Amino acid sequence: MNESYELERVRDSAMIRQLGVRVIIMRGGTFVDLQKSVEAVLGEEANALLYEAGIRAGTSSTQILLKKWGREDFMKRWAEFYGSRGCGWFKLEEAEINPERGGVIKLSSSFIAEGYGRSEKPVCHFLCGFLVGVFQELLGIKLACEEI
Amino acid sequence: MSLGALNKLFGPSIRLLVLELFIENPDRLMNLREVARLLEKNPGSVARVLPRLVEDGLVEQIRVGKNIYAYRLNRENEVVKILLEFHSRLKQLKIKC
Repeated sequence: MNESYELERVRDSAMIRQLGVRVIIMRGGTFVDLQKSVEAVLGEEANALLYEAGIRAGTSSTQILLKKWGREDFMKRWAEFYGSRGCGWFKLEEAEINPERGGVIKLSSSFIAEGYGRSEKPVCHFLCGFLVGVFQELLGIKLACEEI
Repeated sequence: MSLGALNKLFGPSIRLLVLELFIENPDRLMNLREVARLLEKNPGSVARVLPRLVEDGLVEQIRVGKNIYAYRLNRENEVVKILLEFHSRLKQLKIKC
């Protein structure tokens, strides 16, 4: 696992890659601005929309990483990636998934929670969906995620 | 499941899809997973809109076990009565949106 997780600038192309995939740099607050704008227009429907968007993102991200890492070592590499550098979204603290009984995934440093400010309700719908997408793709079963 | 009349007219919206499922099945008691399965949506998406429908009095939450809930259209709600009538008339029109 000596793979570099560093961002790589593609010379003279204004592109950045990480793990060979094009990524973008976006201020965390920009996503939160987008989320708050969607919430202002759609109300609670926005939560479902962000959650669905997260599922798509998690699914496609896992499909890309599965091609790169393979299935056998995937969980170990995924945990190492998101537990260390990741892509600036969150730090994975713990992941314990049982395909039959569900499980708990503990994250810290969520860029959404940090940028959102004080809230009485959960706000990381996109990240919840993202985790659902990742583990559905990996385990081949339907999952749902509740933020606590 | 194809989109219903309300969704064609006012949607697309998961909240409307859920509400319309209950309107089309006004006496059916459904749990969250069943709603999600019938709508072909992730249970997490349904869980993000169903509590508000309960809060608004359009759907009843019925406790069927320890920490297990089922949901049913609240036919006593005045808005629901109007929606049932509206939905029925809308379907008769067979509008194309």
